[in-house]
Amino acid sequence: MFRSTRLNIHSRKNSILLAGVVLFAALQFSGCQMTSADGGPPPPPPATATFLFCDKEAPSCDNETSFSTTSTRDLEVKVSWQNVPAGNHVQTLEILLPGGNLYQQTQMAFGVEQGSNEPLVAIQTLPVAGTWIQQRHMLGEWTARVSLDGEVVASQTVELTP
Amino acid sequence: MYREDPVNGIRRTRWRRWSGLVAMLLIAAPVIARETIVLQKSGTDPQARGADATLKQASPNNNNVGNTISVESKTNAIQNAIIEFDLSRIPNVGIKQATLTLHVTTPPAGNVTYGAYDVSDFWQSNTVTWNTRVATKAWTTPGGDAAGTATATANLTNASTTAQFNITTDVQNWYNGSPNYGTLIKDQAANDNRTTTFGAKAASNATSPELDVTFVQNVTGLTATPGNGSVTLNWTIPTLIGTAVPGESYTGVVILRRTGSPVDKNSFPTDTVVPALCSTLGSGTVVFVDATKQTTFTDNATNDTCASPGGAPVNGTTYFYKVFLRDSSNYYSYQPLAAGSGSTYTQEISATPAATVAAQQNTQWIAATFATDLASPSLIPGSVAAMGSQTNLLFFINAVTGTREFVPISLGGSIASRSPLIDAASSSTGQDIDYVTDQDGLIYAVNTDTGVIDWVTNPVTSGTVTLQGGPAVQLKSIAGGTNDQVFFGTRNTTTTTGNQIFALNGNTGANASWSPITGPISTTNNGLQNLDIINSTPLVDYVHNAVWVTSRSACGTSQPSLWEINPTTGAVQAIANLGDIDASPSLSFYSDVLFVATVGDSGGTTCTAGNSTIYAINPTTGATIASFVTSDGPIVSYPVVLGPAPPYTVIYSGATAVHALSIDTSRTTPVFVPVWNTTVANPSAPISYTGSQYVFVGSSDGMIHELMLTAGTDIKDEVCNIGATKGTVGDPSIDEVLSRIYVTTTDQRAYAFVFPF
Repeated sequence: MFRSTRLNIHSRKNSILLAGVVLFAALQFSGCQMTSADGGPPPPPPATATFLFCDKEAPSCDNETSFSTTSTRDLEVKVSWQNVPAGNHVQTLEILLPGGNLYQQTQMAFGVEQGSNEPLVAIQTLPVAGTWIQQRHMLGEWTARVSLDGEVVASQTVELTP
Repeated sequence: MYREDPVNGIRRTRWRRWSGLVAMLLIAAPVIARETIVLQKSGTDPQARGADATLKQASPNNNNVGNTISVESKTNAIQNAIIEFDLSRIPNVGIKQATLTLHVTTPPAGNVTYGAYDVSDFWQSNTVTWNTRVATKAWTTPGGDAAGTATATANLTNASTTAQFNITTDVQNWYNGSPNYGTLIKDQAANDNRTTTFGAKAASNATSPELDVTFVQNVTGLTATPGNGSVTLNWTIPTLIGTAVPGESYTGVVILRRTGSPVDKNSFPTDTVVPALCSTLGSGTVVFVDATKQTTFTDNATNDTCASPGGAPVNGTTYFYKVFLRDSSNYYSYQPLAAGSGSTYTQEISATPAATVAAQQNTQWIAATFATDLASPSLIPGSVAAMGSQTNLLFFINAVTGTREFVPISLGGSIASRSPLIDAASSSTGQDIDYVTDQDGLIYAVNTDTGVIDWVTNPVTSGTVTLQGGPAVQLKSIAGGTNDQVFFGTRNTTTTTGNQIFALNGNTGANASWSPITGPISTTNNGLQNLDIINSTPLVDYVHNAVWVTSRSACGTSQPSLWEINPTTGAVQAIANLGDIDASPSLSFYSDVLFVATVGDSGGTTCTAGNSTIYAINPTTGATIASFVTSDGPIVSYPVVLGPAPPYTVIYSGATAVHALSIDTSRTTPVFVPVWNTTVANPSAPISYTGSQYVFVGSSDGMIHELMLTAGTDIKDEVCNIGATKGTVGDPSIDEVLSRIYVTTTDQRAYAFVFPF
């Protein structure tokens, strides 16, 4: 179960564009290299992702790294994307058990508009209460691993405790 | 009382006018593989699970299924074609090449380039539109959710008669654990104002979409027989189901062996290369290489002279074998994917040699499930075992051979519960049918003979709801009425008061007249009552014409957690405020006592699971007969009730042990009496049946434990996986027809063993 948040930044587009022009001019005068080694334009920065884990019922999410399986109903896995190129993409999120076996794998499609610089957050809810995680005491260091269009981009561990 | 009980075309090869050139190319280029088949609707291939539609931006809420599909790029009038093939004719194969061909019925006005994209979400052809993929569920991206990059492209002109796309990687992924949601065809250019029309599945056979697949089959009938210091493998080299690549034939097998755990998915021989005997491939040792069509191999001191970790099998050690069929060009039965992606599905088997027959062990079969599943497999005993996985796949396994009945069915979300399987003689559908819930919030009826999804329903039309517990089925053949009814509850964690209980027509998926009931629920004698999340599968009680539902109760006893519902009217006949319940209820043999077990929450503001309390309930009144506070954490899955009459034996699993209680409900004041407990690491739900002298239970130690019912003595264990990738073993199912036990595990496999051990 996924939901995504994409903030509309079109109203801010002009100011971002202006800031970009100023930055470009400053870099030119400072003599920084704006070209790649072969003289072409610099390659776009690679897409990156960061994780945030939250107790869905908690009033706030403080980027905790450990959760109790006996008191957590749902664990939210939030993936924040940066530098994702324009176009349609598929995120694959793998939840790995301690030891590395695959617990769950989910896919989510999303689109990024040309020129968009909006934050992109994909949220998956991992049910805990009443699931095998709680009933079979699947405790220890779990791993969340996220791929973009089939390429692994980031992984992060999270501790599940009694 | 009925509860779905755990116990229990090859079309002619298209030699076109350029066949001579094709033959020359085949000679000049490396031979791709072994067999080819054309999957296309025909007299011999109905493509029952195949589907296609056109998604039209100009009419975004219309479903467009007909004799043609079309692709168009035009401002505000884009058309995308979506296509899915029925792969059930080639269920147990390694894919080497796959080409999608669309037949042009109206060519474009000028040059166009179309891309084929792997679809990433579940859809149904009879409801799919530009905006929605199934029922009321929307695409994340209108026009179809799919990969960002085209798997392949095809250039068309005004003279084109076909569009061909090499989608080999996508098809290999579908056989390697990724859901198969088909292919989306889109124009690569924006607003070129050109349209191409292709034949659809519903069109004449000649213009229907076709998928040309080249593949290598797996061996069939793989068995392992342990001996004293030996393991003998037997298998069958399959007959062709397609057309052999000219000059090619199946010539033998390559066998890898690993100790303690299955050979992992990244261990396989490389196509066109013959591995050396005794060499190491990933986690496996090559113990047998044959090109003489042998169908047996005895792994012993004579035949296996490899150095450790090869060598003669040692008594008491469990060995796993992965058997790759090979052809005369040395193509093997696996999916040759990129490093790290691996190839999970190749036939596997295991055995444990021992000096005595009594100590020898072997699996009857091992089947890949691609992700964790711990629910007890559902059964048509002696015929089919069904299991889900948390990669959105639903498997139907031949209970005798362990081979897939067909390629797993791709659903919308993770399957986290047991799906009841009803045989045709009992089902009001007249089909062998499986009812499945998933974490996408959808419920399905799947024909187990064809894999066709008869219906799918999105019961909760707004918000995000997970279906964690499985469905329960009330059979018309027992209860009467007009059709089977399917019951389930929601797990909406945004509320502790407003969850829902549904009853659907098993034939159509339509809501029963009273369905759903939504918390706060009006009860017969207790006013409005809040309904928290439901994690369990309901229980149908034919004797009392009731459906029993357990739920959580907001971490306390201020609202009900046990609900008795009249399946005909939806009236809530009884409730009980017992505290949070995750376990499904159980009935005694004649339905005179109902047993439920709480999570054991401490209550108050901190909702923390503790020790279960087990209740014996009078199913006529809903009143508590007796209770017992356990001391081993929350119970797992459900209590098991044994015995035809009081005193009943109640078996349950806690965190560290399996426990047995006795209760004589014929007494005026019945009490639970502890009988035995046996330490088992992190046990699954136990399984047994009235008349059996054994209790079976899975464990996090990677084994199934066989306990004596009388005293709980752990008399023998069967190994699933105790090595490097040791998996927790799930709730077992018992097949009394074949005397087999089936389990799934966290090591992404299902195992079958003969019982008693």
